[in-house]
Amino acid sequence: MKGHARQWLSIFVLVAILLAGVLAADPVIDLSKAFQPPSREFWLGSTPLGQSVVTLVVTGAVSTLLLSTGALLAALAVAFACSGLFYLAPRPAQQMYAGLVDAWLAIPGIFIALSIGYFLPQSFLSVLTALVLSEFAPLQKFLLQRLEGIRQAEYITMAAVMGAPATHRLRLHVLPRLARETGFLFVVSLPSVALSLASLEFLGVQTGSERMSLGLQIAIYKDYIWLYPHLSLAPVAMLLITLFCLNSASRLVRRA
Amino acid sequence: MKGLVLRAGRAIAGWLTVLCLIFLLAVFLQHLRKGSAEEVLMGQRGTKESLTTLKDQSFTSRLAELAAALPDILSWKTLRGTLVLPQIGHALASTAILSGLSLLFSILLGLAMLLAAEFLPRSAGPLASAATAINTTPIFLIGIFFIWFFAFALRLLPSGGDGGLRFFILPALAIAVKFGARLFLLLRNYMDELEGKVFILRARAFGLTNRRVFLHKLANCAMPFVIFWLIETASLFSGAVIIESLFSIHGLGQLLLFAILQYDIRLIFANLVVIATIVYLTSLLQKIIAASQKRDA
Repeated sequence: MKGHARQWLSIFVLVAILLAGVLAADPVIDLSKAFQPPSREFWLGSTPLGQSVVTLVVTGAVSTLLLSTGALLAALAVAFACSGLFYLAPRPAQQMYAGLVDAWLAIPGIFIALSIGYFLPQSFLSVLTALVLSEFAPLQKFLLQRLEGIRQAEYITMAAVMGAPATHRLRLHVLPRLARETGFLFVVSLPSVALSLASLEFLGVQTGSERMSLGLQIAIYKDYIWLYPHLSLAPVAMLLITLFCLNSASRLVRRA
Repeated sequence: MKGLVLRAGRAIAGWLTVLCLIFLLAVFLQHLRKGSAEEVLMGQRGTKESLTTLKDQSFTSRLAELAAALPDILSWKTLRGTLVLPQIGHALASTAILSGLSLLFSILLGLAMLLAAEFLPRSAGPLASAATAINTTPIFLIGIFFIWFFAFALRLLPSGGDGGLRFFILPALAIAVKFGARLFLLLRNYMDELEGKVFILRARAFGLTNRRVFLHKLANCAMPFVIFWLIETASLFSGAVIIESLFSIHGLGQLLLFAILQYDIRLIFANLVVIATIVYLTSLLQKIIAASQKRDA
């Protein structure tokens, strides 16, 4: 705890944002209250549709956090399962799969995500699929490299020499270690996935949900900077806070 | 000689795998939007029956159709009837200028930060914090801030377009700030590691000035610097697609976005092939350098 005050504060802020976002009601559209300045009723003013900016940015942050967490978990689950199969596969199949992952890495993730995100109809699942496909290759590459390290560990080599079957080694020795690596990877990759998601949303890939994500809010409200700066800057500030907190929290795990 | 041929064979096989992946992605995309591209293509000219036929096409028949069209890739046309190749060439030139300028600015920025951290030790901590913060900030936010500050508030540079070199300065700076910060963090860490090496300790023991020692350390950073840029090519393109759309530069990223919005599969395919080939070549170069370094060690 001592010496990590900033990191713990980041975790506290993230939890507070999540709780506020989950408990907050959907921002209500009321055209008679459009473009209100900051007041007691609207802490950060209101949008052109009369929605409270505070509610909008908090629910947007939760949407960004949940979507990036879901996408990362899905991508890691697939990569973890593929790594297990990779361990059991014969050498030529392993080489082919490693080559495929390398080839996939040559296509920048944002290009894959944009293509998939625009071609699929607007939905939560479309954005999730786009993110999973764009983030999968680097995650899989990392896990394969770690798997190679685990494979060469002394006790696993010893188990192989002593005649333990590959499935036994995988179940009892390799997968538990790989699971720890996957957990670590989840924590360190979450900020970059949230960043990718925000960039995608900024470029127009949307979930179609009523709760607008932060990237989309920034794209829409950026043009109001001169007339209603609070409206333009609130989603920017919330995105930066979310990203900094995620980074700071991941640093705590990295040190641990 | 045999080893060289084997390595070249592997590299070509890798590139062909990249092409196959893009090919499958393109057909998959076409399959996701059954008929939509054809609707755009045919407009008022297409009959209802022909559109239904196109919509009912299976994945394999689409695959075969695109494969059959591959030999004529150089004469492919977009849905608007213009040739694909000149468009890609023009976009590549714009992206190359943007990337080149970004590279130049980020080197200057990274080195300036490194010099400041070295000769003004008090500034090292705040600089590292600032670089970490910039590294976390999304590139589109940096772009928006630059447009607002340099183009609207100070009226120094144009906010968008690609009419001349002047138009590329602001977008290149937006990319360079992020990559310069990343470069600074990398080289700073590497220099800290070098501090404990025997040749640096010996240089200090001989009474060399801080400036000379810094130059020795900088010379040793050349290889990590090159490898950093080769690894970051994909990120540079990712940054370019966002910045190009923000600053209305007709580069590869903007062209891809345009092609996606039009559901123009051939344009998407050609665009992805060019980008992936560049990224693949740079990663190949990086692997060769890393392997030669390993051999030397």
